[in-house]
Amino acid sequence: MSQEQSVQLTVDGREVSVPAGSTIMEAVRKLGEIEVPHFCWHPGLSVAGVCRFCMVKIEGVPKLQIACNTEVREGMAVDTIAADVKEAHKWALEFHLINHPLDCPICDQAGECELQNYYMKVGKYTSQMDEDKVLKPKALDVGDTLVLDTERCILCSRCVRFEDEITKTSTLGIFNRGDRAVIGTFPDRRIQHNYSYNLADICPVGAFTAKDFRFQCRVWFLKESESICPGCSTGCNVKVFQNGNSREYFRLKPLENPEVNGHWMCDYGRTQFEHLNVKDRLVSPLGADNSALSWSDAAARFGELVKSQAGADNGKVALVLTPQHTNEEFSAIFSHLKSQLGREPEVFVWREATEERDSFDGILFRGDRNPNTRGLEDTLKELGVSAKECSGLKDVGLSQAQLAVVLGPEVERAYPSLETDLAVLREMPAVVYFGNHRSQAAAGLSLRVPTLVFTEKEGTYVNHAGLKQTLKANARVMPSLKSLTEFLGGA
Amino acid sequence: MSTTTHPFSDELKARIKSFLTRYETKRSSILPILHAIQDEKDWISEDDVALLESEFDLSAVDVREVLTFYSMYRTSPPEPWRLEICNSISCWLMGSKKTLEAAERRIQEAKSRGEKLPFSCREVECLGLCGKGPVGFVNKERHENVTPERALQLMEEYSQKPLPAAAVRCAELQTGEGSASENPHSN
Ligand code: SF4
Ligand code: SF4
Ligand code: FES
Ligand code: FES
Repeated sequence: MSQEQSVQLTVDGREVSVPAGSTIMEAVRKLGEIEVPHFCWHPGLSVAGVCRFCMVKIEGVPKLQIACNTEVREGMAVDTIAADVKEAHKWALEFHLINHPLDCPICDQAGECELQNYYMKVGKYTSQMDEDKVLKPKALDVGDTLVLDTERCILCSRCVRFEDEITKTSTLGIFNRGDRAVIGTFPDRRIQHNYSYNLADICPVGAFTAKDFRFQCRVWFLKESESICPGCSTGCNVKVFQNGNSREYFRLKPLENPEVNGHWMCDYGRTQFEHLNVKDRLVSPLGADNSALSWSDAAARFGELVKSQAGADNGKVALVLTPQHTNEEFSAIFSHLKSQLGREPEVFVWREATEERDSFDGILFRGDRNPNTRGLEDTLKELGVSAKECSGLKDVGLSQAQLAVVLGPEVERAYPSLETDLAVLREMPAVVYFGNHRSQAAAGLSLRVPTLVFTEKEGTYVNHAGLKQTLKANARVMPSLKSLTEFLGGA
Repeated sequence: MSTTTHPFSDELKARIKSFLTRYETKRSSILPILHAIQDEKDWISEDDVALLESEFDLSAVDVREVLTFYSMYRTSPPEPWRLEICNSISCWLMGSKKTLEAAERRIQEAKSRGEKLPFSCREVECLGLCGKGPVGFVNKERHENVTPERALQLMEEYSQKPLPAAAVRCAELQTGEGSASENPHSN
């Protein structure tokens, strides 16, 4: 940035320089420590300037101005804490609350509602309204994923702009005028696209709430941690929300990353917490007759199966990998087999036969429903292995391997042909299947070993663009679970 | 005028098309288009809005936003004649409330007697003729010094006139396929 293109100003006496053409809101954000309360402004959307909450004082300007839509000038002195600014914030909130039903105790946004939070910070506390509130439609079913309460809406228009600018579906509008104004869809039309939950995120109040989360858990019981969505090769950065005591996962939300997903994530990605909870998990190793084995027995059995194939003149061993695990896991299992066998196993990359791998919806969602296709390619290259990529498992069946070691998909929904593929495995002499699902799909294989899921392990995913991203580990849903490396260490 | 099953006449369709190219964006033409529809068929239905999307490539949501914003657009079938009385300050000082009450009472009476009176009335904001209050409109015609007596007289006079073309068209579309041209308010 050259000198003449940047503008120097002060905010509450603190100096900041921003590119010419920036708004006061952007300058304030750059300073970091100062907060100007706002509803309609959002860093990922265009400026609307409609909520009139973000008032600030500018030296030499007779009236207060909105920070979000006022451009900075050289030498401008902005004041965000003057008494009249604080007064303006109070009254702006009061205005937004005129027709608000104040049903926070039963509203699902309570605890993370911007209106509520700001009221605690800068509100006026006593109401002066004599007028009755205008009643508006509540609990409207506006789509498969969302419920709309138009009384709670503060008409910030974020949702309207999201539909216009991000999904370009333009499903929402503001109908009527003044205190009768409501957000809505055209009669009998619904919000139907793969990004709908973002509306519940950006709605600053409880007007839009998510059907899959409302009334499930109070947000203050949830702990949030950062992770990578395993839903497709985009690798959106996400926050996962887990009840700290029960370790139950409740939802995913996008984590801002300008290089990957901006502010958003897709609805398919939002479902990627369902397979994490204990009710769907395989929690102990199982033998061929589906009886539970102790971890040490399972490790011993695995060791025997591998050793029986060791030596150069023995039968073939197939290692079948799915692009749904970390680089570190791929390399650990390959190296383990290589050292135990005294030669390299034959490596197959198992992909879903029906996938439309190169499709892309133009926003985020990709047809490659695997988080680590690139990482698997890179790892195999580093190991100097030439693997056979196959759609479905027919080729593995035909390989005549005496033993197949399979790292199955973590997200089984990404493999709609799973049943057919597992039938091929059942015909093989010996199969060790690593998977996290309790489902009976893989029943009858020689040995099934539970694996960890993406929120429980450390490691690397490489997204479609070659960007390396690191997973962080939360506590395991059951303390007894073992990671792949821990298991191989005991085998 | 020959009627078709399409709710918009060919003339109306041509007018809509000409409005669409009049401004920089199609969206800017929503106001005159809605007026044109209302001038032809007296009100604007949700189906009409959907039609503007499917046949004229406007966004139904954008159109509905505009349509519901202004109280001058009618979103349900109206009475053929509509008396609008200004109730802003000058007219109010000249007794517009009394005019309104007289007109409303007359309409109520007609209704309870089962008498055919093709009129509705409502109050509106300043009509820009404040020196001649109370000021009123009957459809698009302006009237000055509308005292309660004058209001009743106007209602009689207009009731004797042939129905306006838009009301006839509205009735045709209500009864379906434009077969009958009966007044829908006669029942
Ligand atoms: S529904 Fe929410 S996001 Fe949309 S205008 Fe209302 S408050 Fe804003
Ligand atoms: S686009 Fe892909 S990575 Fe992003 S949320 Fe959706 S499924 Fe997950
Ligand atoms: S945030 Fe500035 S007017 Fe809404
Ligand atoms: S006040 Fe009635 S016309 Fe202006």
